[in-house]
Amino acid sequence: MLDYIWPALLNLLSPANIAIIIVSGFIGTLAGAMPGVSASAITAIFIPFTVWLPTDIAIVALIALYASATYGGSITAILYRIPGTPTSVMTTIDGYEMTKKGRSGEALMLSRFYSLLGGLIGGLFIIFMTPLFVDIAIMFRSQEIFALILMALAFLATFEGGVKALLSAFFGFFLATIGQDPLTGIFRFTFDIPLMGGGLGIVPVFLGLFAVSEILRLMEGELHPFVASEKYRFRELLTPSWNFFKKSAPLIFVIAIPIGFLIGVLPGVGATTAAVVSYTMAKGMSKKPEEWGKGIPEGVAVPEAANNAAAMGTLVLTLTLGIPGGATAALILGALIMHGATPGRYIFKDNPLLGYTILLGAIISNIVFYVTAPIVIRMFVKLGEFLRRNIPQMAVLIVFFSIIGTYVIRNSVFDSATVLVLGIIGYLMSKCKIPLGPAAITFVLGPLAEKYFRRALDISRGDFTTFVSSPVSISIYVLTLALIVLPRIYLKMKQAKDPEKTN
Amino acid sequence: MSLFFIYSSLQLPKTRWTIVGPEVWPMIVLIGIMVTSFISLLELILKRKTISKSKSKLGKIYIKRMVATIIYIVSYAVTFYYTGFLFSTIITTTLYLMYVGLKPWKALITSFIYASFALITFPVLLFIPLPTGFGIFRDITSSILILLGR
Repeated sequence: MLDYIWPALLNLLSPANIAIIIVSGFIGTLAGAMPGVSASAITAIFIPFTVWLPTDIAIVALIALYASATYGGSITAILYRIPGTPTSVMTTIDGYEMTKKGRSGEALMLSRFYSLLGGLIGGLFIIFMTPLFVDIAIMFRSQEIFALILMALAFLATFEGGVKALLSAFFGFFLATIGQDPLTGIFRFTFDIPLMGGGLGIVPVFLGLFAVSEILRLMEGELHPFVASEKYRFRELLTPSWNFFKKSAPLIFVIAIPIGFLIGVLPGVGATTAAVVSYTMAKGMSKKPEEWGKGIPEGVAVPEAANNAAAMGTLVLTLTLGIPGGATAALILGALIMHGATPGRYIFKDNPLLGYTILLGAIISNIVFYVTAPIVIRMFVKLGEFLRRNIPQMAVLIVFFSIIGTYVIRNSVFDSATVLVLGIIGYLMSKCKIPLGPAAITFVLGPLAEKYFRRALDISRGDFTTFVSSPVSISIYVLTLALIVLPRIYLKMKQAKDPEKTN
Repeated sequence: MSLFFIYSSLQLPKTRWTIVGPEVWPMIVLIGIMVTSFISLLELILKRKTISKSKSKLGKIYIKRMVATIIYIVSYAVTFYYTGFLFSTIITTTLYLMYVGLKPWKALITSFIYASFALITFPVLLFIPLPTGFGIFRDITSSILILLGR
């Protein structure tokens, strides 16, 4: 392996190749920050422009776009509560709360730093631990993946607000059932409207629930965002404090990065689920779960580290077995085939230099977007400062991004209607104190949950005990129970020991 | 609503090749919605006194402004396809901003900035086509795009 790493590194570090990665990183960050322009969309758009590049650099440029767009999505999530990409939906929760408290600069720094950390460690994982992770991922069957999804649901119900969080979660699952059933092709709840056949798009649902409902809240005069005035000194905000780094290290290095990477490796699960699961798990492990969702810095660091580690993880199966780990990985796989390379383990056997250049390129692209991000952040922060003083202009900007962001995905009128209807529903939900986060999360998890639930039952001929029949799924349930119950027992014990301090 | 959708689920055609049909998962989810809604409602009834007290603290809710916002979103989404993104952004945004209290020149400048941003970012820099509308709107938008090299 080491015989190939050095030549691959020399190849990547040529000025022309670095320039290509920088340009890709900049475009990716900017595009990721535009609501509606998902990492997959920007990767797809740029595939034709990589035809004239050598195969290795073309793939590295696409990976740089993917990784930087994954990060870029967090910029608008933090500043405007609009997740630029679905992967940054969890960052929205605490990131925006930090912005409301006048700590947006810190939130942006945390997002940038932990994205880099997640991407770098995820990249190192790919190089050194790929064979091991492939073995683990292959062990996961339908019932085990379903157990992982139930784990996320259990954490949501426990930590997001009890019954109302569950109601929101079921609503998200329901939204995901609208459209064509992927297993039988039967249309559900479409009322013979052809446009509804494709189901609700992830971007219109998120923009409706988060962006439009936010505008309605802004315009009713009840909520005043960006209340705190803040000066952005980026020199002081390059890295988090050593104390915070030390304090959050267990959540980042034990949960966010390994879990994020592992979920990224699982076929079809992807970076959004990684952010969701690691956020909920980290919240469960946290000593103060009640502070999550109210602007805790760990709430930004954990999902950002996890989604970038997952973005790296999705490349594992793509490059070693030719199975894409997610939508963007599928596009990268297509680009590899377009360039005449054979994806799968033969990449490393027949053309190891290509394989290792791609893997190292994934790591270098993470460093590149760490450098390019401040320019994009500055642009968005300046805009944020202006909008802080001009709420109607901000409302208009959110509508503008929502409509354009919806249009560029599918060019569909139906999607615009979805944004509006879900905006009103989201507004009513927030008036009834029903959290919106669980609905967004289960909307992403819904198709996976149903697919694995039905597949497991089909294979077991309808036997429900299949969900508790394997050691892996039992371990997941036990772990879930432990993560919910143990912190409470720990708190109770602590309270019994020192009631004043615990209170 | 849940009952209606459960009824719709039961009307879905059955399949012979799968043990779990397309109606099972939606029914589980809808029953979940019904149960959690019922419990939430019970909680609401039990805490009714507290809520009625807190409601009075909410203050003035600007219904007219909210309705105007909804109308603005609908009209922006609709005109987006028929007049194209440029004219839709300029016309609807200017009118809305004027309604919510901005001076006409300020509203017009803001709309122009947003429209120019959309023009430069999406069709020019990111190669993402946006609707140019029909008739004269399409002609004007297309001419501007040609001038910008697209």
